[in-house]
Amino acid sequence: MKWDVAELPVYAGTERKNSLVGGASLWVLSGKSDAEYKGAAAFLNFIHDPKTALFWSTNTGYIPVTKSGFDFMKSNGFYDKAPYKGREVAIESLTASEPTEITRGIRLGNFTQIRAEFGTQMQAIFANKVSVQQGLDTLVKNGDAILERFQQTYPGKTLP
Amino acid sequence: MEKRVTFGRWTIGILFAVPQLLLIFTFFYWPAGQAVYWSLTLQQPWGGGNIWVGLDNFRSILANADYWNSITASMIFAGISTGLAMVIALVLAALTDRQLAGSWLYRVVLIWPYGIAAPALALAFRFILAPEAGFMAVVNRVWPGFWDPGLDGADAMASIIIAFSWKYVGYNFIFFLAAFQAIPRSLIEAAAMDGSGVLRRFWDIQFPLITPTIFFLLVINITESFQDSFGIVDIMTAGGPANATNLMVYKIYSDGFKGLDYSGAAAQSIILMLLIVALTIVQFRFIERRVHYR
Repeated sequence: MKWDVAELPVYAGTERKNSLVGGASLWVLSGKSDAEYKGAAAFLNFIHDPKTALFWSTNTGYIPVTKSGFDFMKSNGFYDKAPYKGREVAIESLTASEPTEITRGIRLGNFTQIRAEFGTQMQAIFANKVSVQQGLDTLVKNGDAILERFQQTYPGKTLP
Repeated sequence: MEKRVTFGRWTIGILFAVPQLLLIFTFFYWPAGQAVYWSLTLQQPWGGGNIWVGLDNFRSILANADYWNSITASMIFAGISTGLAMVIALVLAALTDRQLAGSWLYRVVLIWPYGIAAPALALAFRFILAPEAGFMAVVNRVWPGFWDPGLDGADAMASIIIAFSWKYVGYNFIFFLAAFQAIPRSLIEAAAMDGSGVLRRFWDIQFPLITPTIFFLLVINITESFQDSFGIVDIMTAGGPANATNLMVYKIYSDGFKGLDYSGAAAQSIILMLLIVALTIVQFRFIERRVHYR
């Protein structure tokens, strides 16, 4: 058997879009002291560094988060041999097109619950339990309910 | 003269009870009270406050079709897995009790499954019941598409029921065997001399005499199937496909710890607690009447 890594197929005549980014994110919160911001900046600088990207990807299996990091790893021959060969496909998939309105990373209240609901409805659709339209309608209805609950938990707040 | 050892003052007795009371308070009453409080508020998951909403959490949960689906799934799971685990264990224990050849081996071996942690046995069954490799793959080759727990909700439910029953057969077996062996041999020998066969002796003598054990195991099995199923569901199906195995205890975990809806999860755990209490009361009121204690 010959195995390889490839992007998910798309229907003929469909334009390939970049895949949605997911995973952990780093945030710098407001209202801290100057010294703390200096520290945060130094840390982000360190994370941003291509050499850190190489170390990070080698040891964790995560993808590099910057293009400069990816280029540095590629020029270093990281993707040329096993066991890392084929991982560049993930970058290809993530950068297949410019992020569009529906494929950019999203920030939502109760995002993990909405994502779980998305998974559930997709399973129902793939198992032929509901039609595609029915599944999507349920997803919208349940997603709205989850968002509404988030709004009730944080009344009067708006996302900055 | 007073021979019994008594404490002069009641305070000493209290002092001896304090460590135990402290433990129960810290690990049961305090968290349970906290859960009740959370269920009546909307908690902000990252801290920063909460809002009193009264019974709104309960109202929104009980109006949610997914929650009723979860209750139905839990009931089906509890009913079938308790039935399977008890009937199989009863038959095995009855056979072992008859001192058939090799029964000493069964006595040792059949107890082992209960000693295996739920996630470990779930992982084992995940391999055994995997549709693409393993035992069920052979069945699938003969009968394509017969078994697919990844897409078919009924298959997924069957796999967690099998895994759970397998574990509790071991547990029930110990109790049934002990109950059978507590029956005086003379009763069974007398019946045998009167010419009754094995099955007749079982239904007329052994079965009525072990009803207290059956009742005890029924209560324990139903309670555990609501609670101990978590590890199996988490490893084998993670509640899927399409919520088919999203049992109540797993939904509490996924809503609370993955979805960070602490208030909703707290309300669900209180409903689950009330449900188990109600089921246990029903069993004690209606089934215990038919139990003959010696």
